[in-house]
Amino acid sequence: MSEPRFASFKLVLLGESAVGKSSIVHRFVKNTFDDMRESTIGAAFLTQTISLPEVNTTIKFEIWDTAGQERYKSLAPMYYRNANAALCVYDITSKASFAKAQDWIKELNRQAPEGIVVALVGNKADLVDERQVDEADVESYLQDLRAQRGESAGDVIHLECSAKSGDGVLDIFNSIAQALPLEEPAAKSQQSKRVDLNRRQQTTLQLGCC
Amino acid sequence: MPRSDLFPELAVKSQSKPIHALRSKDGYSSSQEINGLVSDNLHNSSDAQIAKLVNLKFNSNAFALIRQLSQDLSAKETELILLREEKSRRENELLRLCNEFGNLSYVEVDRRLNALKPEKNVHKVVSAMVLDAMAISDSQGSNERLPKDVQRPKPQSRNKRTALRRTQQPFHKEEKSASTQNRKSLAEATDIRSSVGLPVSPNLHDTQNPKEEPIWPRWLHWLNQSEESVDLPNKSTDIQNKSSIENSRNKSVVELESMGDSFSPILTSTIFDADKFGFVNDKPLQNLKCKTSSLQDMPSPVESPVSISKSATEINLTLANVENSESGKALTTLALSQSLDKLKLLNEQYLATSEMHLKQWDILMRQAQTSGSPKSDQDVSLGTFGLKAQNLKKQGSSLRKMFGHEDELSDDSKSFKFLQRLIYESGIPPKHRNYLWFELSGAKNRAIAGEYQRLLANSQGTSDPTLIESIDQIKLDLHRTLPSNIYFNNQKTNGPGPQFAALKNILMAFAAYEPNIGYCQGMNKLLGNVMLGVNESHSHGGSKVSEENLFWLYVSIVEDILPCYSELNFFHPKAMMLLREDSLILRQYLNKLMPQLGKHLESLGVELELVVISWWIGVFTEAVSSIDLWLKLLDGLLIADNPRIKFHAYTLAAFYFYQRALCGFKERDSIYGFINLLKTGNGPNIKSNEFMSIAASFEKQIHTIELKSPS
Ligand SMILES: Nc1nc2c(ncn2[C@@H]2O[C@H](COP(=O)(O)OP(=O)(O)OP(=O)(O)O)[C@@H](O)[C@H]2O)c(=O)[nH]1
Ligand SMILES: [Mg+2]
Repeated sequence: MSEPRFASFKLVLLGESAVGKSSIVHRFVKNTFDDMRESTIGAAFLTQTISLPEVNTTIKFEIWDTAGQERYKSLAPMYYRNANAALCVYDITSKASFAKAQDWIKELNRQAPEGIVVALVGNKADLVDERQVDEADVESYLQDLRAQRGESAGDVIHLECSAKSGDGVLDIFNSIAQALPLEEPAAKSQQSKRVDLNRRQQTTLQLGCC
Repeated sequence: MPRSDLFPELAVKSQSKPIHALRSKDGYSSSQEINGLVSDNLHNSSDAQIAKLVNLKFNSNAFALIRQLSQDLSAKETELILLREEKSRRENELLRLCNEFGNLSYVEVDRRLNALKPEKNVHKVVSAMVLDAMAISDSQGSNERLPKDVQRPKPQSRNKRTALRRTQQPFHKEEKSASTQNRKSLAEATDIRSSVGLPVSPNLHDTQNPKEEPIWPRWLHWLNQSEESVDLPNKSTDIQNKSSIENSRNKSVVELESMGDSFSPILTSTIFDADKFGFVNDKPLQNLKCKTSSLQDMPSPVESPVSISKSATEINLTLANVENSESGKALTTLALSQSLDKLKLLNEQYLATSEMHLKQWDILMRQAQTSGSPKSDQDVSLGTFGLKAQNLKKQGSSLRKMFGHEDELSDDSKSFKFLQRLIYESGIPPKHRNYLWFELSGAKNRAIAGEYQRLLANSQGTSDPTLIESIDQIKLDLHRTLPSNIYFNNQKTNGPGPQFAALKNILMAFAAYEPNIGYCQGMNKLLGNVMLGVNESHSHGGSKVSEENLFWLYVSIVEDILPCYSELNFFHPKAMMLLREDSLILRQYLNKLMPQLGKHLESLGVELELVVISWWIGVFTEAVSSIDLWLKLLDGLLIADNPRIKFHAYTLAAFYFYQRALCGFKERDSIYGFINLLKTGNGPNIKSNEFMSIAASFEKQIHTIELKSPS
């Protein structure tokens, strides 16, 4: 049995305004849902840890929840820079928000650090009667994406959830945790991942200066 | 450890036998009398000794002993507070002198002081003593200790507890209870506060402390608390556990009747426990430790003279209680009454200062209103003060005449400086706020009769895609704007509050007025806060502001008061990138002006821009925890020569006050987490006059800093 390990990862949420990014984060971090959540100005920050007993590892997510309004778009690179994972969130009751989420994936493919784990998340799954985005739509989009990116690029995780009921929220973060590179420190290749798998809590991310 | 050097009086006491202290108070020097009748080292006594003590001196009534102990403690605390107050007064005066005559900024003085090594760390000595004392009493198995939940703070021991907690508590606590409003659980905030050693109680300051924490609100609060705990000994634990924030806020429930006829009558009842700005407390039942943090959430006296005078009467009541109660009579030693006199004196001094400010404002306003607009100059803006009070800088201004220096043409800015000083020292008092905001923002110049109605109509049936986009976003944000405030959200019916419609109309009309700027997330909170300030002013006798005028006020703030970036309006979509570049400059300022903090943040890899950007887009609504302080920030912006620099200065000032907390964090995410909590109203309380003067001093220094061009 190896020593328990600790790793911390930066995760960013992207997606159109009001799709429920903040609600997902609060469900994950505090296990609450609030109909009267304030809209996000700029960005918000929260952390949460989860443990992966199978690999004897605890993972801390440093979560940046960005504001969704289109004009904030130019700020997003500040937040996904150095990110290890990104959630591109859409609202299953809005086709437009699904298109926006695809734009984000495109942008991440171009600009985000290599190896970033990307999840395409359909929120508000509780609103079944108002559904506009079907699983079939998503599947065909993902297939196209795979064709474009090729095998090596790794897969986009896709899940649906409801921040309101809580269904599926934890699964998202678990899936991301599974997909994150948790190799032994020794086996750590020259990859530029700033992940310290050694026990100590301090991750000394040295961020490139402006 | 040479404790006796520092505390000779305590050293003597700890050698004495416990019961001795009770023999006769004549046998003691007056300095010891201050400490009350019961020995300090009761904890060293055996159970039997204490039982004997209770029998002999307290007629077998252990409660009397507890009461006595608690009273002794409060007398000591009073003394400590007075000392600290005195120290801080002198310190401030010194700072002022250094600043005035030595040309040293507050920050510079502070930096030099910080560089000094403390000769004796009073803090450590005291906490070691407390630890020792506790250890001894533990080892003796004595059950008689000071009750843990004594309502009054115990500065030293609490610090110790805080220190212990720091190591025990995880950063995040899972919150199980779903809360219906948006304000975050206070429990979490307390965790953070205590985990950073934020002042949960006043402390004897080590030299690391950048600034004295406000003292008044806290001790006023304790006195209130102790009064309550005396009066209501049998309250259910639920009530006792409730946060004292709630108690304090309930006391200033806003009088909605006075808020004008546009408000729905439901709000006039006491269904809601709202604070004076209409924020509803949805704090879950608090556990005990929350009490400590609530102490600093009292509004600072500078900010609300009304509530202070109220509290002052409460003090008097409390004092009367102490003097009238049985054991109180026995306790009324010379020293205590001296302390009380001092307290009263301090209170009077305080009231006098705020009264003086009010008087000065009244005079200024009366003069302004009678003298009217200046006539001699063509290009002055409308009103007596004009946009950013620029009329005060103009020749021939009747207000300038009023200050009696109409002939000193060289000194154009004297009357402006007077206004500026008043704004920095006290902020615009609520009752003059609406009038002055309307003038200083330039709204008076902008208002065009009938235009607002036209814009509203335009926004409704529009087919312009950019306008539609703005309006859609407004609709998404309306119910997510200040949802914990009764003016915008009726928590009872889960429907809109009485000012919801005005918020919506104004945002929409603005989008129609300036389609290129449209609507930007952040405007909603800015406007919401402005509306709360206007409400407060109106309830203090300030002029009533119609929705239409509110619109012009908002337009003026957005267009003329907020910074511009390359001629682009602050909220212009293209300004966002420039804002981002500007936030990189802040890092340079911070490294120059607060190098210690700068290094600390850098070593943890904190990217300042990530948070600064949010502060700016929200016009600081997310940077400070109290609306009172925020309103002063807006006051200051209204007369700022260079709003862009003012933004930097405010940001630096905020970091200055959070510095101590931030330097205590050893992890990057704790820093971000702390900053994130500010927007929920859970940050440390900051005195607005201190904030403004620090900001002003930073503003001066910023001009001297040479920037490295970003490569
Ligand atoms: N029915 C339902 N409503 C949800 C769900 N998640 C969020 N909402 C609602 O959607 C609205 C927007 O949620 P937010 O979490 O504030 O959205 P956001 O993506 O953070 O929005 P921005 O901060 O503007 O970018 C709120 O009114 C939520 O109550 C969900 O799972 N089901
Ligand atoms: Mg959000």
